[in-house]
Amino acid sequence: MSSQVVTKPLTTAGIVLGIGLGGFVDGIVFHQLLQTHSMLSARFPRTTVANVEVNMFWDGVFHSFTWIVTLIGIGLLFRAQGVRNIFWSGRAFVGSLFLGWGMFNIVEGVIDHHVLHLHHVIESRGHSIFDAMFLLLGAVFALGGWVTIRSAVGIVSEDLTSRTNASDHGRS
Amino acid sequence: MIRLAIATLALTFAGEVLACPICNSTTGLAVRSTIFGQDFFKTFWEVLAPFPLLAVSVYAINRSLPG
Repeated sequence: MSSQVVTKPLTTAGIVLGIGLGGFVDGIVFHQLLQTHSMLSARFPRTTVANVEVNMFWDGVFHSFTWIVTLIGIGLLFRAQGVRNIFWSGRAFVGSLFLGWGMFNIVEGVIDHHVLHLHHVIESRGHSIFDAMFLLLGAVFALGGWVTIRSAVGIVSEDLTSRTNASDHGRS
Repeated sequence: MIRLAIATLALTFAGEVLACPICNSTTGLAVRSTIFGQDFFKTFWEVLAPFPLLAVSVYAINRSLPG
């Protein structure tokens, strides 16, 4: 195995996939299953059929883009399989998925909940502790993902060092 | 039970059920005019605002990732 083994193409694909899938989790869990908010529920309260429909439309626009992000992630993953010397670390990949998911929560949470006030996690409560919890969960996912990636890459490096040393001893 | 049956029938055949953005009904018209009103592009960019920032974040994190 060459010492120039790489994981970055895999982790980049994982981060982008994590963002897309994180967007879908938000949409499926909060917009559809629990229905605690919709895309513009702070502006168009879901108290009339027309407002519910308007929110549903903008949910669709948002999820169209999360679908595109997921597609880009799949493309990057497909491209990664063609990279020579790539190390297919499941640990690094899962870590990058969580990093992407956490990034989605942080960026979407800050912009939509706190800056633009398009909606809040629990709309009936408005700006509440749940918005902060959403961000906190994102930070935990992002940090956990980051640490997992670093530890996975560290394991790869140690493994390579030990293999290189073993082959050097074998030659001498 | 009779009330439930009446309510079900009323909801099934109510004109307001046709409320999609492309529906030819009063509610459908209200939905269309709200979505595609003056604020359409402003709302469009607001809804998509997280994505450019996420792209920049991915680029920055990708540069600092090991491996």
